[in-house]
Amino acid sequence: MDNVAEEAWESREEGEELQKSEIFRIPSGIPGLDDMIEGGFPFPSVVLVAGSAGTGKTTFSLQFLFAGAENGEQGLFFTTLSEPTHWMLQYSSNFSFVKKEYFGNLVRYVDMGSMLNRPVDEILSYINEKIAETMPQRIVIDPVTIIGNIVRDNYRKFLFDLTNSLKSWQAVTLLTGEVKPGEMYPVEVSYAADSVILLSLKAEGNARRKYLEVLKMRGTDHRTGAYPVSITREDGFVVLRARF
Amino acid sequence: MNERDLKLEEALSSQLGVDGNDYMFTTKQVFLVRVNLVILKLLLEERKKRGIAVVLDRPHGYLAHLLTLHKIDQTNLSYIDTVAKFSGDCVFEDPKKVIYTNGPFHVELLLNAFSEGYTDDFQTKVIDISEVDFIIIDNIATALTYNTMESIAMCCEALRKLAEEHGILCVVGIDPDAHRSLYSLLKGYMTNEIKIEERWLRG
Repeated sequence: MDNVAEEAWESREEGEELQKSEIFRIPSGIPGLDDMIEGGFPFPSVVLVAGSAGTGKTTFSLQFLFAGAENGEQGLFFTTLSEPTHWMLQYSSNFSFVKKEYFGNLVRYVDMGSMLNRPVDEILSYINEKIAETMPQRIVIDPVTIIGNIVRDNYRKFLFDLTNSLKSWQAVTLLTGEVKPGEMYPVEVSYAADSVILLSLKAEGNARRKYLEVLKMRGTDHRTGAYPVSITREDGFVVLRARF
Repeated sequence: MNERDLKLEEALSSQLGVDGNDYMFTTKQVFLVRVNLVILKLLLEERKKRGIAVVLDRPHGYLAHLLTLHKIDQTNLSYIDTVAKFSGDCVFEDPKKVIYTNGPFHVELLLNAFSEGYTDDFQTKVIDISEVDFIIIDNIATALTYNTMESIAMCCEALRKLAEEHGILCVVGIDPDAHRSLYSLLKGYMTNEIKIEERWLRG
């Protein structure tokens, strides 16, 4: 190293480590979660958020996008549901974290319903084009498992190509996955994703409570075990501290 | 390119290339790709410059695709692609415009492409320095994963020489909060710092 470099080293703050490349992370936007995962999701990465109906997958994903929008980050939400986007938005707009001024600019929606009967390559190209147009830092595909039901034979290759290109676009992508009865999480997606977060409902007495568990997060010393969550209009999706 | 990015381009235009030839811009890591794209538009289209993009964290095809989608003319852009060979989604195309290295290791040797040349699977290429107006690196922080700080320092030194001795505009972006030690190092080499202001990004 020459003199200039040496001077640069000397000017660094005391105690600063020089060699190690830390994984850059972005906050998840979910209160309580970042404490479990060393500060946030690795950037870029692909995160599977899996759960059965009513566990809060879509709420989790929207909150992630709106948290990014608060910091000026572009969000892109692909919906593969047959339900029209405006119905989904109508329900979600009740949450206090949803700021309507972000709709259509920092949080954009793409309804993929009409694309799903196309060949796999076309679906991938369509997703890539939308991402390139928008240049998002946060992406959601909700739910990705619908595509699996349609493409069937090519699903593994589709997921491999999809996750590979998603990471190269330099964004954190949440893929939500519906869990079938008897299944813990969608296995094919879990292999392709860098992280797996499981949302579940557990019967306790006469009620069913919601839980979140980080099953896998590459490059992250994450907490294990199921943590209770609450979902309210006022606070959105929150991971509670107590562990069960 | 949307109105917000055009405003960012306008703001960058008033800063880039005004005080010399080597520039470090600082922004949050999540905005590096966007700022790089806007700088490329400014240099390739508005200023009609010829340049090299050194890609360290993803195959050049992604940047090329972004430029195509944003209708930015790439006729005068070539690449040094350090990632394609082990990215899993590499597309070896148009070798005339791309030098494929064997990985993002030994960044201190990358700019040898301007002197003795660089040999990839296709041929040995020497980049004619007189045909290059700018170099942009996307993104230098990735080099930390595969290189020692000494290697990165040597790469920075080579960049500074290209700027000083040949008048080539060199642009490097970094997130100072995410990579403080690398930022400290770059400060020692790059003459000019452009802090990307939040209002530029918001448009």
